[in-house]
Amino acid sequence: MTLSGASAAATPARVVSLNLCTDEYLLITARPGQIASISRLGADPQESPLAGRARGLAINSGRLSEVIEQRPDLVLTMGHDPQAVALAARLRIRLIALPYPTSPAAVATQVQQVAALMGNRPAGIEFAARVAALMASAPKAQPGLMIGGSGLAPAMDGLAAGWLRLAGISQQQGGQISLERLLVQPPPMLIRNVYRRGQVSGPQAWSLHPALRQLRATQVEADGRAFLCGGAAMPAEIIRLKKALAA
Amino acid sequence: MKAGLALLCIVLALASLALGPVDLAALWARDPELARSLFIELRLPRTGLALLIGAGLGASGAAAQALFRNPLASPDVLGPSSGAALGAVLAGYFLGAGVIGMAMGGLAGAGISLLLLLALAGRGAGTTRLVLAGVAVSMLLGVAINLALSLAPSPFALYDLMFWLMGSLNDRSLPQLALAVPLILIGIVLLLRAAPALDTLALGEEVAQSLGVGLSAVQARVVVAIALATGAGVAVAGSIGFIGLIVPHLVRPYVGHQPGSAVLPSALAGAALLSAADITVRLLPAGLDLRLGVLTALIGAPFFLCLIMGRR
Amino acid sequence: MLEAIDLSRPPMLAPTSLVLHPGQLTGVIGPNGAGKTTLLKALAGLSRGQGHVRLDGQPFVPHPRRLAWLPASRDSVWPMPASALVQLGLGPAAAPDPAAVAAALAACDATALAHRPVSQLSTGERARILLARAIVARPAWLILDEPIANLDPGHRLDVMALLADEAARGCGAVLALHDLDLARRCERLLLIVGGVVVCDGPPEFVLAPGILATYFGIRRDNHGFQRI
Repeated sequence: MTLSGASAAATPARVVSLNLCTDEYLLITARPGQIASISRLGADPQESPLAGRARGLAINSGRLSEVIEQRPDLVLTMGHDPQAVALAARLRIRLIALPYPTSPAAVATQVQQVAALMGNRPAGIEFAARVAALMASAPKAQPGLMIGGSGLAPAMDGLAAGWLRLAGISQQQGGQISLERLLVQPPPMLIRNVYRRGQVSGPQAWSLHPALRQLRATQVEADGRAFLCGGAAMPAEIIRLKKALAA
Repeated sequence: MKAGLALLCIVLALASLALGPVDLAALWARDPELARSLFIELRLPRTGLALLIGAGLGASGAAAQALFRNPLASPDVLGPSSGAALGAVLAGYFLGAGVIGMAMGGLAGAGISLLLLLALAGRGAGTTRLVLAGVAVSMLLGVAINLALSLAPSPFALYDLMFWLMGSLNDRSLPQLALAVPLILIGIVLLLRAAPALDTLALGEEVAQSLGVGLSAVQARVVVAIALATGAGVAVAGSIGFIGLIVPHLVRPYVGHQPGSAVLPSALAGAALLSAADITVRLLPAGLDLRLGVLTALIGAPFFLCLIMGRR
Repeated sequence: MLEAIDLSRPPMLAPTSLVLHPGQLTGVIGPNGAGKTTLLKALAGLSRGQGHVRLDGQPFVPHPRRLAWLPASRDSVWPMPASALVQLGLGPAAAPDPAAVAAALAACDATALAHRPVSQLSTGERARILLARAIVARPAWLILDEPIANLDPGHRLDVMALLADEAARGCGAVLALHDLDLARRCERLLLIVGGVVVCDGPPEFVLAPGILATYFGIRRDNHGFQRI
């Protein structure tokens, strides 16, 4: 179901989101009382910086079958889910599955589209303006590297890299990072993507490696929660990053 | 034979220390401080863990084959490796334990899975029953690991599954080596001390008993030792398979097919084999990113098949 | 002196008390499934159940020099050389003793088999190697479950002679066997039927015609044993 043909419908009164990223979109565009439920991830402070706005909202497990009884006017989700689409069609529930955005501009477009669906265009315009402002005031890109907890760096041409450019960082490398090479050729700026700090699992032990302490690079932390979706929570995170990098 | 294997281990250790993505010799000329750092924090742990984990797996394989009186027994085929991974996962993701806690979880998991196997296969079980029991235990544990990661508080824990099921020695740290060394060494020493009893066990359980071997005591000691020798390694590097299965077969012809006497040479051969595999993984062209666990499986699975075919 | 006191393994073996003396060759005979193996294993201190075994007045503790047990099973898992297998009979703590191994192999007419892998031997050849393993430590007691079952007639006689020699030097030997002719060479026979020792005495007494008829359903005539 495409978004462009949806404008004819009335403003929905009960909207459900099944996915963390669309949770975040809803949290910044929906009016009070419009949200019937969001996924449990969107309401979890360990998963989203916007979880504070979800206080008091009902949460779902992310499965369409579970939210049917809430009789939603509109169900939002992200990514490829043919089963949910087919089920929604059979039950005559309006389900919109947004594609994964590939750039900050795409995120701004999606927020505007969701805002239009919610009957709250001003919220969408405001978000797009914030992103445009970030694009206009982006510092000159310096080489840098953002790495996640298990030594994985986001792709150089991906969504996270797109946002980093707005903070003035050009992602040098993607994929699994070798600590040896990192030590010998450190990036001028190292951004450590911190997600669930307390949890030490097998792969995450990488981030505890003593060698990282000796790295000769400016090290800054990024909020892993915002980067999970690279969506609605990003503008605030980029502003914070810009300040941290400038310091 | 042992001298030859020891020499091989030394040669491979030196090669492992010298080889890596960064040219250490060139770095030493440019920046000795950094080179020293790299050597101590990265090359040394990796080399040490390859030798140690390989030794633990080799010795455990030989001991398991002696204890179960079956050439197809090994810590990975029969469950202890998966058990260790499950233990570490439960400790790390659910109990919030740190690196040490996960190692303890690994030990407990390996021990419990061995006990489960002993209970299922029974004493003196034939090959069919033993392998079936081992497959059942491994499957159960594999599913449990999957389930545990799915239910973990963190929604993205399932992406870690690959790490646990197919291990890797990439970027291991000195603290991890320091943790594994005492545990694995104690396990290997315990296995060496059980070696004479394991030799006698070749005569059968009843006869061994009549010769003064305390069967329950030996079983308990070997179970604990295998848990130590393999569990810590899994907690630190994930599951690495087939070393424990293959190495005793390569070694036994040189020790007169005595299953207990094979424990020490198997430790040395396991150390050498895993070091060689790890060096190979590092030397592969950049595009081919092969995990160590995958490489050992690629070599080991055909070997395992030949073993089964050869026994018909 | 090997004493069995109220040994029982229900339902295979009824409570049995026996006294066995060193220097005696004792045979255990009986129909299939009568409990011969159960009795011998219990005597060797190998199975858990009621009653206990005392050796020279002390509770029995297994040791290579005290008692050797030879099970009926002939399989071996590892393809080790025969001499290595025999060496294992000296016990886990023993140092290599090629002389003792060679002597044991010679006594069992298995010297030629010394370097052959055990798993490649015929059943009868393996049986002789396993017997050599049992005698290598020169134990005070030999408990053997059907040691002559797989042997050819010549080697059967050899083994009976070997056991008689062992008894002569002071060893107490107990063996289970089905060959009633060779059973005559024992000093004492135990006839066990349905888990109960129904007859205990010298061969002339135990192998009397009435007993043969009642428990085996056979009689002896000029041509050997016949069904009744």
